[in-house]
Amino acid sequence: MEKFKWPNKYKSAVIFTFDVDGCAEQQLYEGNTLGHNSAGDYRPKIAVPRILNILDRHGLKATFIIPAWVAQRFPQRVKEIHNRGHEIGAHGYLHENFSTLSESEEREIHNKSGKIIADMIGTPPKAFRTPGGPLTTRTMKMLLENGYDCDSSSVKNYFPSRVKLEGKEVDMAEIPFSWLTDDFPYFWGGYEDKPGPPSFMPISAPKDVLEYWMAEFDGIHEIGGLFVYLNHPRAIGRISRLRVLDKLIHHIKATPSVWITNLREVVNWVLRE
Amino acid sequence: MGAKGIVKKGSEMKFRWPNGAECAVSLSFEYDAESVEWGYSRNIEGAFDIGGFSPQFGVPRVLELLNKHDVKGTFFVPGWDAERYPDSIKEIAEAGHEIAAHGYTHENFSELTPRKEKDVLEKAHKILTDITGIPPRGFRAAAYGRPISAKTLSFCRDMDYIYDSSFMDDDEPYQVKIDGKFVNMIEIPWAWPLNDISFMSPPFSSGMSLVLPQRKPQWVLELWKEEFDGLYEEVGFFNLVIHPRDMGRVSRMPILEGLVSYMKRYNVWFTTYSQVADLCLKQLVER
Ligand SMILES: [Zn+2]
Ligand SMILES: [Zn+2]
Repeated sequence: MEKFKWPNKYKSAVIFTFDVDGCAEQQLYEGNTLGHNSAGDYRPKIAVPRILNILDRHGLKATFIIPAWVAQRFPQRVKEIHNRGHEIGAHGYLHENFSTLSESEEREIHNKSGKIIADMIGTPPKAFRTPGGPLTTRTMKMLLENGYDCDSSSVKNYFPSRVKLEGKEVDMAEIPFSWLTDDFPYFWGGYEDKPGPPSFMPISAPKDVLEYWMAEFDGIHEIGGLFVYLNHPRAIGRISRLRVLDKLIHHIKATPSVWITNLREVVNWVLRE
Repeated sequence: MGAKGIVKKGSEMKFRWPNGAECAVSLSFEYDAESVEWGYSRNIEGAFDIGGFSPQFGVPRVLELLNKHDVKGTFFVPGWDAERYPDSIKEIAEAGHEIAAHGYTHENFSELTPRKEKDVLEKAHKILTDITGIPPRGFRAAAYGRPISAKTLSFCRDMDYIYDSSFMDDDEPYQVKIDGKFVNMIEIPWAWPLNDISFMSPPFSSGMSLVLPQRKPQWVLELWKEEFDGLYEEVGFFNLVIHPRDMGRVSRMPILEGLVSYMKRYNVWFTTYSQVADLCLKQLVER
């Protein structure tokens, strides 16, 4: 297996990202964020402040990926995230599946959502994670045109890399995540948000999930990879589960030679020189 | 100081509970007899008759447990079930528990026309009022995973309901806004991990083709204790959703018994939904 070289002789690296999807999909597909469709609001409303406190306590900076429609619904929250030193990444306007849209529709969404976030925090987003559906070459090109330097939609690697587009290296870093270190498969519960046949996700006990995450972190550290913690505040935001996140951070901090950093630092490292 | 000597953050506790209680605990029970299957499939025979377990075994066991612990619960009762089991509903109300609205045949309110929706709410309201002599004061939407309509909350308000319990966007009660304006109504939100259906729903329950892993009773009890610990220490509100058709099984009732006994060891206020809503509304006025 290839080795990835980290700065300062660090053996592995860890970053934290939070997808604050809000009720974007409920709005997009059903135009209704009421009743059982309101669960997404738990993230910006209840979970984000709690997460910000945990990050502060541990002296960590994270990246919050937010559909622009959700940002418009909770502008103070977005400003608070930004003012406390965290990065805001783009995630479509209403968590769209870009592969189902025309080129001009997609372009308009990137333009619109980038501008909404820029107007809110004073700087345009540079990181992107595709909301629904696959990431296409078309999307990658538009991101480059719009000044993005980071995509975090791939799940096939333990190492970050420079993106190759049609055979040529471009100024874009790929920061791969993993479903295993996502809270979604363990804590989502309830029916799937999207229209279609109702499906239900089993709910795990918080203390069991800590074991999955610690095992995966230990393994990634062993091979010198990048541990990307991807979190949906709706699922992780409950007190019982945030305590697991807290324990995971303690475990990571107790491991020697880990670069506990943030997405921006890793992007800069990948794109250096 | 909260449980286990952890200082409560305070900032998250927006309401003060009576007698200095650290946490309000509301236990809710969805009566959900055959109305659920009737609403979905017009079939309550064979394995679709599972709703009948609720009035026959589930509810009596729950009542026995609540009585033993001297705790009052809130029962959300579909009108169609109330018509079929009036004596059971009367018994619940006479034991001092609260009867609240839950549609007529466990409808998905987002699919009804406003006119039909109003009819359903008013019809169910009248049925419950006629049986118990006490008009319901709150509503919870049925049909999991489906939203309510843009009209539901105003219709409920028109009927003088003081609470709704259909939202999932908070850990504690908050004041409801309709068309951007605060109204005299409290939202009492619920969450999947505190809903028994997440851990013990039978396959094909309600004709919705749910197939969920069954969890061991002790496992569920431990998870709920963990949830309670966190909410007790940092939020001050714990809201449980129980379906007597699922929880009422002999092997599962000990979960509820274990949880209630556990919570009683702490400084909690066991309360019905309307008591919480009344108190919250009163404190909002005083502010
Ligand atoms: Zn997302
Ligand atoms: Zn129900």
